[in-house]
Amino acid sequence: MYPTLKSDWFLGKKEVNKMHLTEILHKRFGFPTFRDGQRPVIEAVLQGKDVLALMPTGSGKSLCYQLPGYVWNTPVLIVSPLLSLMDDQVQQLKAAGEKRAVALNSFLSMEERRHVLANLSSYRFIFISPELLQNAYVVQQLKRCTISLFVVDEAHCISQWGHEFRTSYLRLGSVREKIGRPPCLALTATATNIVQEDIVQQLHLQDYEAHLASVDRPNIKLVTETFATEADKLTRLQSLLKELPGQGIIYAATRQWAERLAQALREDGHERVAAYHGGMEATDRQLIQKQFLRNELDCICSTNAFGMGINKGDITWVIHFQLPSDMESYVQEVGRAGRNGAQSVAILLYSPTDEELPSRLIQQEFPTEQQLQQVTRMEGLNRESASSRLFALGMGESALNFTLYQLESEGYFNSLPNQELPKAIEKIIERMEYRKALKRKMLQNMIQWTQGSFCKREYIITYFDEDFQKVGRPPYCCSYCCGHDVHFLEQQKRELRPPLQTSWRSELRFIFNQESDDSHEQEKPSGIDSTIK
Amino acid sequence: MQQFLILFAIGKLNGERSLSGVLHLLNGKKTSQTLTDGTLFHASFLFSALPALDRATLETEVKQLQANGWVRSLSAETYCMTSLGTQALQTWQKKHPYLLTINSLKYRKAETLFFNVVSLYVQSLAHVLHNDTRFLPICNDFHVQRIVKRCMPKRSERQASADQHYQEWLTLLNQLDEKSATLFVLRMSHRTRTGLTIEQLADQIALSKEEVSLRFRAVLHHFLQEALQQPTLYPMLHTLAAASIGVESVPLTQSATKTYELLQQGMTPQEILRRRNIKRSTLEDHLVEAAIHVPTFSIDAFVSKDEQQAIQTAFTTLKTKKLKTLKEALQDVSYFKIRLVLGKKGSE
Ligand SMILES: [Zn+2]
Ligand SMILES: [Zn+2]
Repeated sequence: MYPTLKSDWFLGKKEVNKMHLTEILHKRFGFPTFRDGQRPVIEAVLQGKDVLALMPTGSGKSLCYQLPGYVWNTPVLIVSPLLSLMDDQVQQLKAAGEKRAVALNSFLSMEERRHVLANLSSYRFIFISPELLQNAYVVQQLKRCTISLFVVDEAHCISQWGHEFRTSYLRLGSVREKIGRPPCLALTATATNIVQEDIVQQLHLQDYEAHLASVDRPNIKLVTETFATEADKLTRLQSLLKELPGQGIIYAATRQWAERLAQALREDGHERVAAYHGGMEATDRQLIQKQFLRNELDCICSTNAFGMGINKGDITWVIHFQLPSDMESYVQEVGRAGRNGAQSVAILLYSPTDEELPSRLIQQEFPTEQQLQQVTRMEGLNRESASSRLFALGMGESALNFTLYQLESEGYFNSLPNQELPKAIEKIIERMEYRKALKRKMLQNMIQWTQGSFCKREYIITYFDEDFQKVGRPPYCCSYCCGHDVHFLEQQKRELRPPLQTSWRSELRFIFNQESDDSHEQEKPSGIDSTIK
Repeated sequence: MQQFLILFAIGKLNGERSLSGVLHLLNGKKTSQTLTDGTLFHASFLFSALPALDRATLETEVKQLQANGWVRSLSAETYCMTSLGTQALQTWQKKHPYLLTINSLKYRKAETLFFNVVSLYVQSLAHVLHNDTRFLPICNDFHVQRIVKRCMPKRSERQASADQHYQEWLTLLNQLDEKSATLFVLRMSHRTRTGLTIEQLADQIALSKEEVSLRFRAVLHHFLQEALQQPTLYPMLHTLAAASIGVESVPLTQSATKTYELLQQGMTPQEILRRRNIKRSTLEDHLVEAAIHVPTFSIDAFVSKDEQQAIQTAFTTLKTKKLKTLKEALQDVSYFKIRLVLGKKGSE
């Protein structure tokens, strides 16, 4: 039916044109047409080219490697930074009937990992964490099974100039060489010019095609509102919730805030609101996520780390109750609204006290000078033993990764002469200060954007090095251009939670499909009605 | 609720233990090895009954209990229950008969896996009965999914299995009061509704979160107990319970099985060392083996919750299973404890 391609599977331009991509799309994914930007990326990928694709959140990025996966018969490898995201993607593929998908990460048991690694070529989609790609055995197995496409998701994590730099992403270029240099598809939602250049260089992209979609989301109105105190913000949030139709996300800076907001809103009469964050018990977190996906909740109060895997098209609004750490995060979080193309709104509630928290978080991402000085007193360490010593010093994950990477690039683990160590530490501190300053500047940008008297959309477009003239101004642009009004949103009818006034007995009959059979025990009068006060 | 649970714990520990003992028993964060079946006879529900309890809250509650005249202090740190307290507790306990169904010493380790298996099974069955195979599973855990897949009936037997399940559930739930039956069924996900969280159930049935958690635990233990002991009466639930508890296929070496059996009979590790005349390191190997292969085997008696947490954090931060590295990072924690936690983790 589809061409079976072996060693020489890449297609010429003509062949790709002749292929009935829409047919595969319909058959495999159930979509009648491609969304904006998907087709050209897929065509380039099928021709075996390196591709840098900048596609906004929710534009169907994953289709760009999933569809080619059905044209070829060798595995597609997807490097993904977030473990929870990886698992969600595998689940979604499985729910759509794809059995040959697997997530390779440190949370698989040894036995399972061994099994997967021995049978790599039997999978269509292999998701892998960047850490595991540092493992020589894993690389060797990957090399043996002929990877057809090397996908780097969230590729901006590769750049030190970006907001979300991860040291584990740095060696991906050389890993790609080691496994036989398959074509590379670098995917990201937001990247400034300088970050794009970094991606190209680090991943060794050659003769690549760049497909850069605009960061603009014309169907999302951007609103910022400033308040003197947190209490005022909360009052505003409560009244907003009464006005806004449909489903939405409220972003909070911490778990405590997510809980507090959900509680406050429920007390205000919004029953269909729940908190959602990493500190919750796994079972209940799953339930909340599913309830939200199935529209049994109107709103979740979430921290930014979660909700990444939530693939929901009909989110009508996103509210930031606290300031995101930079424009990139803001654009990504806002981008969860209106994926179905419906008119949506993003509202940021700001008060001056908001600046303390993100500043504190920036400090925590790096080692203290004192910790670095303590490192100089350690001798004869290799990478492994250094990492455990740093952990013992009380460093958090990102501070630890930063320090390790810096020590390594200073040659610390390759018998650096002792007398040169102080100089190396000095350099590291210099780089650290630089990076902290960069982060603070990004935060300042965010505040400036919130406070400034200018078109919010134009600022964002320009920040990401696009030409605003070409993008243009949609009818519902931003709070500067057209005020704070949110009444233009289509008044969707909110579905009600399926009624619970039935008794557990009838629930049970429904679950086990006993409805048609009336030979079962008669309903007792004392149902749930009498138990619910 | 909280107040009476604390009163209960003080009564049970009967002045022998300090407030720290009460705290550790109720929040389940640290395990005191001397707490044996005997101490908690008919009161094992106290074990981690209040997972969020902290020192300050406990002290405030104890002051209140003292003011009520329900407890009196023996020394600065220890309290015992007064006869007035005993009366109050009895009155309260009559209102919470479900507590006696809880057998934490036996089922605490299995309950989460069992619940995950049952809810994924119910969700899957409810969907496939209507030939709907495309749904997002309520539990993403690989291990749970594998168990459920193994237990799912063939296409031709689906409705028959559902009929049998219905009868088993109805029998077991009818043995409980309406509130417990209701919250258990509402916690399940089916075709048109996702299951409710503990917090949502508390709102819905107008009970405290503590009571919902305990009632829920009581139903799980009731199901486990009945299904495991009466396979002929509850064949469907027996399959799910047995698969969750792992009794049918414990892949241990012969020697480790022996150690494990003695442990199950209530012997302490020291007693086993003497009885079997084996080396300490051998015994440790056996325990690690059990941690890896027996889902219901609890390592809490050997590694405190705090240490488990520390090892877990080191593992996720350093992303390595190399014992030497982890040992260096954790310094005071023994290799044995690290192996236990990693083993347990791998089996989950
Ligand atoms: Zn504007
Ligand atoms: Zn598991």
